[in-house]
Amino acid sequence: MTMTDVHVLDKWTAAWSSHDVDQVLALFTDDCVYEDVPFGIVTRGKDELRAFAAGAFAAVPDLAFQLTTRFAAGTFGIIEWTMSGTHQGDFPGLPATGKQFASIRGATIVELRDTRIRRNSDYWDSAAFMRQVGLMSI
Amino acid sequence: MTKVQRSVCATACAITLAFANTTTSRAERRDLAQRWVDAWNAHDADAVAVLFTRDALYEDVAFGSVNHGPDEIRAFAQFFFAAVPDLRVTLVASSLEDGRGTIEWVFSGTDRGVYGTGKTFAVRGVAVLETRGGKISRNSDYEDLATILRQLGLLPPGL
Repeated sequence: MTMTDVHVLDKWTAAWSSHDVDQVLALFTDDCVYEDVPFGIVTRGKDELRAFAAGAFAAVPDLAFQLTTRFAAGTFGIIEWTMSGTHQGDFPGLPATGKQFASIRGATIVELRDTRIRRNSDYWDSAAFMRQVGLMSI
Repeated sequence: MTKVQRSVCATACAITLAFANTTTSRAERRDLAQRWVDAWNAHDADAVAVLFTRDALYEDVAFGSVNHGPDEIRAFAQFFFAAVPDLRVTLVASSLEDGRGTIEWVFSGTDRGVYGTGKTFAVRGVAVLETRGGKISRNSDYEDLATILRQLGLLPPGL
C-alpha cells in the first residue's frame, strides 16, 4: 500500500463535496465503471460519469460527504461515508422535495489502477433518503 | 431463482467479474467470505455466530439493527432465518487485506416475517468487514431497503 492509494480515497469525499464535476472526474480512469447500486445506474467512461455527477449536483446543490473510514491495499479500497444535503432537483423516480437530508450512511467499494479508480460501486439506502425528505414513513 | 433474482445476479456478476482480484491472501479471503455465505445459506445461526470475535459489532445499516457479540449476532441471524425461511445469499465478489475486507452479495428470499407480505425479494448489498485473528470484529451491511420494499409492494405509488 502506498500513501497515494489512500489519498485518492480521501479526495473522493472532498470531490463529491466540491460540486465540481472536474474534481470528481480527475479521480477516475478513462475506462472507469461507476455504479450507483440503489438507483441501478451504471456509467462507463468519463462522459457518462460527467453526466451522472452533473445530475447529482443539480439535484443536491449543497451535497456534502463526510468520511467515516477509508482503507486501501493493493488494488482494493473501501470508503464509508455519511451524505447530507438539500433535495432541490429531481432524482430518478424521486421528484424534488426541497427538503434536507442529514445522515445517509453508505459504503463505496473501489478497485484502483495506479492512483485512480477503475471501478466504483456505491451502496446506500435510498429508503433512508426518502424517509428523511418526507416521501415515505416506513 | 425468480426473474428479479436472476436479473440482479446477472448485472452484479457481469460488472464485478470483469475485475480480477490480485490480492496476496486470496485463499484466506475466499475462505472467510465463503464461510460467511455458507453459514447464512445453511440457515445455521451458530455457524454465523462462530465467525465473529467475542467483542464483534454486526450492524445492518438499512434495518437499523446493531448487535454486539456472538449471542446477539446469533439472535439476529435466527430472526432472519425465521422471517425469511428460504433466505439465500449469493456471493458476488469479496476482498480481504490487512484486517479489512468486503463481501458483496445478493440477499434473496420470501418475506414471511419481516413485513409478512409473502412476496419474494432480491437485493444487492455489501458487508464491510474488519477482521482479527481470522474472525470478524466488525460487519457493517449496507443495502437498499427501498429495493426490498418496492418488490414487496410496500412503497407509495411512484416511488
